[in-house]
Amino acid sequence: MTATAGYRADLFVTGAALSMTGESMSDTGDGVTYEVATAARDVWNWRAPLIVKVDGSTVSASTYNVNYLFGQVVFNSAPGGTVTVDGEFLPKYRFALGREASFDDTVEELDITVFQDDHIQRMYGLADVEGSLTGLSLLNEEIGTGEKTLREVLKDRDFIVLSYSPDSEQTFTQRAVIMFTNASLSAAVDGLVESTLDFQGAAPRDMTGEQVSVEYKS
Amino acid sequence: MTAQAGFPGKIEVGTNGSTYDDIGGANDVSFDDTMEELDATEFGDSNVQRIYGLGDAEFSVTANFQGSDAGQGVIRTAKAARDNIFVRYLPDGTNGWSAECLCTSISTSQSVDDKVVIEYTFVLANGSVSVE
Repeated sequence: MTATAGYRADLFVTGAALSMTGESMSDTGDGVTYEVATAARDVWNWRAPLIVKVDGSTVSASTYNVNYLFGQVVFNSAPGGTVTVDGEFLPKYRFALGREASFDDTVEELDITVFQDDHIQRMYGLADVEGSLTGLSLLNEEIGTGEKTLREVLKDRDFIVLSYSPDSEQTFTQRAVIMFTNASLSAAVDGLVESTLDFQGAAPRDMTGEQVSVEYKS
Repeated sequence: MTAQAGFPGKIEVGTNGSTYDDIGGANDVSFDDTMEELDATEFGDSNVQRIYGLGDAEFSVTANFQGSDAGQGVIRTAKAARDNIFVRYLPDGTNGWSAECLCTSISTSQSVDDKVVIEYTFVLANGSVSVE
């Protein structure tokens, strides 16, 4: 095993939502986790209704959980039929001009020490993400053809999804709904125009009230 | 007695405190094993008096990112599930310390002209530090 060169990073951000109807889902192998068959449609819009069907019939939302960030439906038990979904997906666009990236995945520590403990005892609290993206002339570049620029995303107070794989084989991918909190641009007569966007996790709720938290895939 | 070179060191993680996986790619470790100090000075003392308070521990690990490394995978899985994780640090490869911890931070950073670096922070969760 060796180190991973930084240039191999594979980052994507998402554009405006598009409709999907009767989208095919495939069993990932455990009989209960189904994933969208078309990889380009594997980030779903949490702000739109998601209808899950088995053999064409709508199934109750109480029978599954949704992973919006990797296009998965996890059933409580094997669905026993052909699974499709209706809803909206967020098209992914490679973060083409990036030169540096950081992604901090954190969990709060809560002190639960009580009398008779001789060492501090802790439990997990709230999770969060934050980081930054630096690249060439990011602010005025469209995310994708016809999409907003990253600066417009900040100005419009939009949330987008960031997909971050440290290597191009995507041996490990983490995705989060993020909000940009700062955009800075620097330029010098003898250098390149560079932009940096700072972000934090947004973790919004979907239409059923469930939170869209950071997700991982290995 | 002589100094101890750093390169034979081992930093390992596990889910049960019995079996461990190396954190592959690790190249920098710090381990803080601390005791709180409580000021017990009173009138009549001419020097500060102290007593021991709570013990605590923290491990910080820097590693080269390796997507398929078992140890790095153990950390990601535990943190995502909010499970406690056992950390064992052996500075000479044989002797050292271990503790049951929380993984409170995984920070990944990279640039086009460098390698992917990942930094982990573990803090004591339960019990105390064990000598290995």
